[in-house]
This record gives sequence, structure tokens and C-alpha cells, in this order.
Amino acid sequence: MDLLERYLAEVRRNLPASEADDIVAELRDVLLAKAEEQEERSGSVAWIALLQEFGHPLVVAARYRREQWLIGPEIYPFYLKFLKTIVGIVLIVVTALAVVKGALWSEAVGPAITGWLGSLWWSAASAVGSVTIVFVIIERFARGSIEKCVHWRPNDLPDMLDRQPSKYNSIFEVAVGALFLLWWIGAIPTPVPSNGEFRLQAAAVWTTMFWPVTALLVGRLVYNLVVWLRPRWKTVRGFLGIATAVGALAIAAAIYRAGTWIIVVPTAMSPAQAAGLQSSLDLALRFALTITIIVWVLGIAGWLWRRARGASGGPLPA
Amino acid sequence: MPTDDEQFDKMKVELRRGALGLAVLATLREERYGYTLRQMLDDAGIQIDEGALYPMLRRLESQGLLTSEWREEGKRNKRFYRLSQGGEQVLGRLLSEWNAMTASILELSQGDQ
Repeated sequence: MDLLERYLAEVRRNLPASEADDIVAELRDVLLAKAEEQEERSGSVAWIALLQEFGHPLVVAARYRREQWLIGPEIYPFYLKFLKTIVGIVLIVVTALAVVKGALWSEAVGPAITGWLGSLWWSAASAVGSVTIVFVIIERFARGSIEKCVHWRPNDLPDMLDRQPSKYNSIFEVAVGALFLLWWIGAIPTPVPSNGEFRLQAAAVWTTMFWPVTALLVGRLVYNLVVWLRPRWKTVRGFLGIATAVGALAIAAAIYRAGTWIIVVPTAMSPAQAAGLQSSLDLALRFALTITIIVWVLGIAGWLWRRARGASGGPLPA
Repeated sequence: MPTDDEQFDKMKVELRRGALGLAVLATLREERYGYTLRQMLDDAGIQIDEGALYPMLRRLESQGLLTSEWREEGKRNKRFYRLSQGGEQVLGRLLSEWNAMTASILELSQGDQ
């Protein structure tokens, strides 16, 4: 009997307090009835076997709980979808940050990879934990409203014949675009490239073009967000795509005309050497800019041609 | 890949899940306490684990389909359950649904033969 009371006390610890007395009283009656039946049959009661057969106290108590799961089947599909998206973004951002950090600060490869893997693990674990906690709260307090929160319209379903832009490509572009924008406006500080003999300095053209470039980066970010989150907004996509493409070409042309983009400031080298380095740098950058603009124009022309033929055109080449 | 027996057991559990509630409601048209209710279901060929039966009785009561009262019987306090008025109406509708479904499944399975 001592065993029975210990068993019931353990069940009680895991029951809702308001119902514990009632449930335990009923369980006591059930177990005593089983014991009596066993005693009539065999002359004694094997309490250990009887209680083991009845079930672990935690399991027995859990069956009386109203909530049998953390995230129920109604909101689980939304949870899974949201989790995949958030973890995808986190992994891309962490990787992009590691690449930017490695490129700017010239970290050794070994420590850089170790640091990246560590960040990757903790960021992914934090993202999974945070999303799970949010959905557990929704499950407890707002299960009915989840479907209302997630707008679903049959008209938003993708066309069968359209070439749909890749969602992961869009997420990547949003993450990289946001990082680049933050760097451009100075939110991510970068060291001035220098090797002791000279340092590199941005030319005046970048100050002149600060706001146009900022507007272009914001436009591209919005465009990629639309491609990612509202792929059926073809008109908005088309408008933003063409506007940012035209804007980018105009800005590229203005930057190209400047002729000098990075200035070599000598610190411990002769002016003649600095002039030679400046000339080489200008030539290399002119070549790179020319190739970039040609590739970009061809990409935009192809995209416009596909749109003119009636297809969605897919995402505008970056 | 589950074996045929495992597959069968899994589907049997799913099939029985809803039917057990119906069997409990039908049995409680007469007042009974948990132990005799389980014995009666067992005698009728419907096995139900005690760990599932008692939480189910509480859930059905909280839904207003059953009423219960504690009474002394055989030197011990026992909790007696019976169908409430609302429970009787729900049982009637569920039985109609059950019969219609059984008839449909019979018709479909006979059509295959």
C-alpha cells in the first residue's frame, strides 16, 4: 500500500493542481479494484508488476493534460515553413558576414572556418529555439487566429507555365543586398586598405553618387523582397525591375565617366611610383567596369526580351 | 518500410481512436463506474487501456457529454458516470453517422468483389 501511495503522489506532482485531488481519488479506486481482482484470482497482489503495467507516473499524468503537444498539427505546416525560411536566412547572413569579415580583415583560413562553423551552429540553434518558442505561444494562446494571420489567396498560386524565380536565390539576394546597403551607409565599419607604403581612398565620385547609389540599393532590396514574398505581383516586379535596371545603368555610366574611382595616397613611396600605381589601378578598374556593364546590359536585354514575349522573365539579373 | 502487421496495427489504432469514444458514450446510457465500464467494453470485444479510458471520461465530461458523481459502493468511494442530455443527442447523431459510414464502406467493399 505504501507503494501505491508513493505512486499516486508521483502522479499528483504532474497533474494540474485544480484537478489533482479528483483524478488521484479515481486512480486510487481503479488500482485498488485491480488489486482486489488479482487477489481473488491468485491470493496475493503483485504491486510492482501492477503499477508497472498501469504506466509510468509521468505518462499517466500527461494523459490528463489538455495540451498533448507543443505545436499541434494545425499550425505545424506554418511552423515548418517559417522555420526553414528563417534558418535559411540566418545561415546565409552568417556565411556572408564571415566572407566579408574574412575578406576585409584577412583572417587566417583555419580560425576563420572554425569561427564560421561556431557562429553557424549557435545562430541556427538560436533561430530554431526562437521560432519554436513563438509557435508554442501561438499554439497555446492564438491557435485559431494563425490561419487568419497567414493570408492565403488562390490567385497568389504560381502559374503552371511561368518561370518562377528561385526563392532561395531571392533570400540570398535580400540578405546580401541588406548587408551591402549597411556597408554602403557606413553601418558596418571597414578599415582603410593600407600596406605601409600607400593607402587607398575612395574618389570624389562616390560622394557625389552616394544618394543615387543608396536609392538604387534600396530599390533592389525592395525588388528582391517582392520576388521572394510576393512573386505574383508581376506589375510591381516589372516596374521595380525596369526602374532599378535603368537607374543602375545610368549610375554605372556616371561612375564610369569619372575616370578615377580609387585614389592612391602615397605614405612611404615616391610620387612617380604612386602615379604608376594609380594609372594601373584606373586601367584595371576601367576594364572591370566595362565588362560588368556589358554583362549587365546583355542580361537586362535578355530579361526585357523574355518579358516582351509574355513570360514573367524570371528574376532580373543582379 | 513497415511490415504488413505493423501497417495493420497502425491503421487499426487510427480506426479505433474515434470509435472508442462512441463505444464509451453508448455504454454509458446506463450509469457505471470506470472499472465496470471497462469490463463491459472488454466483454463486448472492445479493449481499451485504462490509461486512455479515464482521461477520456474526464474529457467527455468537460465537454458536457457525461455527468458524474462520487458514491460509496462496496466500502469504497467510486465515481459513477452516465450520459448527459446533451450527450444523448450527440450520441444519436454519431450513431447515425457511424451507421451511414458502415453502410457506405460495405457497399464500396462489396462493389470491389
